[in-house]
Amino acid sequence: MTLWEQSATEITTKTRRGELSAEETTRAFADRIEALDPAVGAFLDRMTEPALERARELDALPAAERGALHGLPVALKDIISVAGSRCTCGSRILEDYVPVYNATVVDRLNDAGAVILGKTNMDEFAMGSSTENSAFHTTKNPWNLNCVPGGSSGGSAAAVAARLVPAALGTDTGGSIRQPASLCGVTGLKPTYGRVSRYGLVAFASSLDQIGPLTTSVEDAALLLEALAGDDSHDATCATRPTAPYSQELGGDVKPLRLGVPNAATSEGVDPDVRAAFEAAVATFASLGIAIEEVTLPATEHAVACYYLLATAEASSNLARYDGVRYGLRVSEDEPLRVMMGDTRARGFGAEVKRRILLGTFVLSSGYYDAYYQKAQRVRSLIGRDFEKAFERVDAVLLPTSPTPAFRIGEKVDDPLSMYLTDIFTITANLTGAPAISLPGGFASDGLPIGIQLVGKHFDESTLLRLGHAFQQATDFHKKSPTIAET
Amino acid sequence: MADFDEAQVRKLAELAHVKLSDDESAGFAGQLDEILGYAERIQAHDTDGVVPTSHALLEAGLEGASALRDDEPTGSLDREQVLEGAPDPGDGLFKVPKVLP
Amino acid sequence: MTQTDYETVIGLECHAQLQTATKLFCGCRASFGAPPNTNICPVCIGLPGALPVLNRRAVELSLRAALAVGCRVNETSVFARKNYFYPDLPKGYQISQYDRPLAEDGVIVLELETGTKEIRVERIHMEEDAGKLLHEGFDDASSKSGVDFNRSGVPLIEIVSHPDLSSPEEATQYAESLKEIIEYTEASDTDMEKGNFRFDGNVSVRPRGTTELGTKVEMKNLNSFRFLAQALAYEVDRQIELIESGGRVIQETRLYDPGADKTVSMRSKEEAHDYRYFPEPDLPPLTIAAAQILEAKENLPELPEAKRERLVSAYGLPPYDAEVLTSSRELANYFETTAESSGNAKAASNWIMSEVLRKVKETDATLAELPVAPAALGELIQLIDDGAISGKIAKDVFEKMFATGDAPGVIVKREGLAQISDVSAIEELARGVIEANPDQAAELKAGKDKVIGWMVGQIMKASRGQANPQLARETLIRLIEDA
Repeated sequence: MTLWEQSATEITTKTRRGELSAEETTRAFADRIEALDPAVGAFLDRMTEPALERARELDALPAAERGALHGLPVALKDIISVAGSRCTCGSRILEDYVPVYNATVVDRLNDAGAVILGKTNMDEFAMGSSTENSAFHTTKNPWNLNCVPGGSSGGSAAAVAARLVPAALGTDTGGSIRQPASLCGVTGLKPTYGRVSRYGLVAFASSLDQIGPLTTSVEDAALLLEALAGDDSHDATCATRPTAPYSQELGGDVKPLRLGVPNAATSEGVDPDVRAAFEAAVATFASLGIAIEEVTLPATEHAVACYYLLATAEASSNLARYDGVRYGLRVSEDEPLRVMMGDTRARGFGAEVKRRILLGTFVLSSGYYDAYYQKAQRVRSLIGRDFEKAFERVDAVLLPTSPTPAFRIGEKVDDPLSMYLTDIFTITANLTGAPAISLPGGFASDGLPIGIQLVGKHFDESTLLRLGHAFQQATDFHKKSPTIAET
Repeated sequence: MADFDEAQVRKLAELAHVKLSDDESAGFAGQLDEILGYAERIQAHDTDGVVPTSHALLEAGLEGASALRDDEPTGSLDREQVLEGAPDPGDGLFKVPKVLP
Repeated sequence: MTQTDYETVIGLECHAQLQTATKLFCGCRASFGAPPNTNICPVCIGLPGALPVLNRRAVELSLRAALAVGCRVNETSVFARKNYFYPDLPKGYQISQYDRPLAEDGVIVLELETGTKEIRVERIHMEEDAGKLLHEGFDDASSKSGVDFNRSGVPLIEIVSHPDLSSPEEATQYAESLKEIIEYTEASDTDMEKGNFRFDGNVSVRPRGTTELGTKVEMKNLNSFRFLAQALAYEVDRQIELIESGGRVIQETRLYDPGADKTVSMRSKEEAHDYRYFPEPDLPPLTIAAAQILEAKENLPELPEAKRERLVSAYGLPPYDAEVLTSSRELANYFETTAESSGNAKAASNWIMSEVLRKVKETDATLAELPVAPAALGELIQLIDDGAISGKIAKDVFEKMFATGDAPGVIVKREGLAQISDVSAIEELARGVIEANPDQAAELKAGKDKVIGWMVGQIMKASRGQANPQLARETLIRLIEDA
């Protein structure tokens, strides 16, 4: 088996044992990026030279000091801070911004022996579902270069799908890990809110953002989560409860588990191929001896509306710091202060970001706060209750990830609402804080991948991963790669 | 409900310090009107007596008290390094267009 | 109508900087006077991705201050973002508390000439300070301003009174009382010169007897008691004159200009504010357990009023002395230590109110910086009470203690200042004076008592003031009679 066909678990295990060198692995993936990324456009910045240097250091480490991700090349969505490397968030306003500190997840990856190979493309400030909102370039879906990879972590999903890296990190505020994972045919995990530190993750909507891995298998997702998860004294919203040995718990028996299927999961607006894949997935789980139960989640029909009111409100505040004073872009610098700030933000932000800042500003403004922001917060509570009630009876809920497979580049750019509605199945996990994972669940008639999604109980990533792993033992969708990966 | 006209958009843009062209204002007015029209559906929900959620895990009783920090200095950043990334550094300060005192 | 036909309504907002080592949400030092932008980190300059983590000590100090002004502490309070743009506000929002503050419903009792008056404290909340804009001191100051973020994130509490104050004098008295109480709790050093304790005022007037509030004007940054009193007085007069001349007070923010002794409108700089407060998602609500509140209440230091009463009852001080000595907790402590070590409370009070406070004033030092520690002053008082030195010598010894920092006993010994009470030594001195002044001695012997004072003076002079004057007088009379 060639290197790129191997999983993250295989690569790091072999490197730790000395059967592979970190330098060779790093060079091999760097070469793949060099050769294939011009067509895919997954990366914004490559970090080949520092990565190779780091790999050589790792190769020199004695066996006892080698970490759980020893020698594993990874890519990071360009919204995660790495000291000394540009962090653009896909935005002109941060085009030249270089962080002076590492995100906690970066320290954790480094401690575990991973090699950071580059930064991946994304929708500007993670606002979007297609990566078309990047200020720099459009990332293509490796399965069909005329289609979007999904978003906002489209660069990370495309990079893993084309096997340009064995694993990547993304961020998920309303589905931004799971939806591109689904559209690119890879595995994408959004951990429970608070399971992974957000320190150094540039904020979009602070009460919803969460970092997670994109990989080619559940086994690899568990491996990365184990390295990333845990409390952080720099993040007051990070959970203090202990983490679990996720990768060692994968093989547990799934027979006693119960899976909830919402009665309206495949209703209106769901593509027939997605519906078929979803129903096949239900059958697969049933064949594993898992009890399937119907659940109702009535408040979730309002999840998209609720989400766009809350997320934009938080975003309007989080993005206020880009004012041309301390870092990042400044234009009209000889004009009065107000003009400088207004022009800087006009030039620095793209249309979708402006749209959301305006909506969020409105939602919080005097006279509308109660009717929109606070009302949405109450609906958020109701959505939480629906899930709580469901989880009294089941261990996880099965949903489609995206109502459709990847759409064509340019198809939805002028219709923001239809773009927002692609998040309909992913948003609830962000609103409730629950963990969720998207798994490759089949292919549409035109060959594009389709994802299915499991939503778990808070902090019960173990069960979620166990179910996902069992599904991947019974199917081989996750083993398929696009033709471009083989060239 | 609030109708989004261009004047409304311009007022919000002023508050958010984003300068908009006339074309942008018109375009956003239409889009925001549509998005907000969709979001109106949450009004149909009866939320009497429902506590608003601002921290999902806390309200769900899953995470406890606020995490506090000890009052111990942890060191600061190197000023020159930080100012290097500033649009207009000088005299150890972040310079901005003159603000009237 | 005339001035007296109007009623004044004033509410004060006080910002007190908490005495912590580090900032409210990060580990940068909260110290004053460091070179610009040297106490900064990702959190307090608002770098992308940085997150706030609340300082435990700041919570403890706020809690103490809240309890000291009799507030009810909320077991759950919520941090909120106050959104506005300004170059000294690095995140584009200030983290403050809004609809669920730390504490509510306190009261401060003022002793007025007309009796006592309760001023209600509406709320106390925690918040972070902004950075500082500099307008001069660099070459391009004509076209640019500069931002220093050292102060950004420094912990503050805001103490908001109800509009219960009905004159600038009352407002000033409230401000002084509040400062005294907060200083006692050690929640803040209340140093007004450093801006660690500052006031904003809301002022309105209305025809006497009406109940509807007049339009209020906000007065910013009243940084000393004198300015506070002057600014409020000016503003009250301005509003009354305006109304009397047929004008109307408009709601606005005004800044006091102490140089010109007037207030000027800040309207030109005002924008339509809409702070869009919402709960800070990066910080879980602050919960303070009932047990912690109770414990803090029990550990609250003695407050000024209680201390005054105790100084009167336990030390037998006159109320005036107690008032002066409790003007700060530091001074009261200084007094108590002096009184304990000297065993003479009234003398301790006299010495502190005259000599010690004079030195503080002359040298512009704090009590802690004075070279004379309270225990040393106590020792000095004891030396007088034991008759070891005279009261006059004691003044000199005090000066020397101040100059050298040495203990009084050491100075007395080194300089030979101990009072001479040895009979034979005094006899020797008296004989010398008698021999040197035979005429005066003869007069005295002849019963002319007038010269006795002069002759005792000669003995004192010969002893460089150390002779026990009573003993000198007795000895002189005995020697003359015996001769």
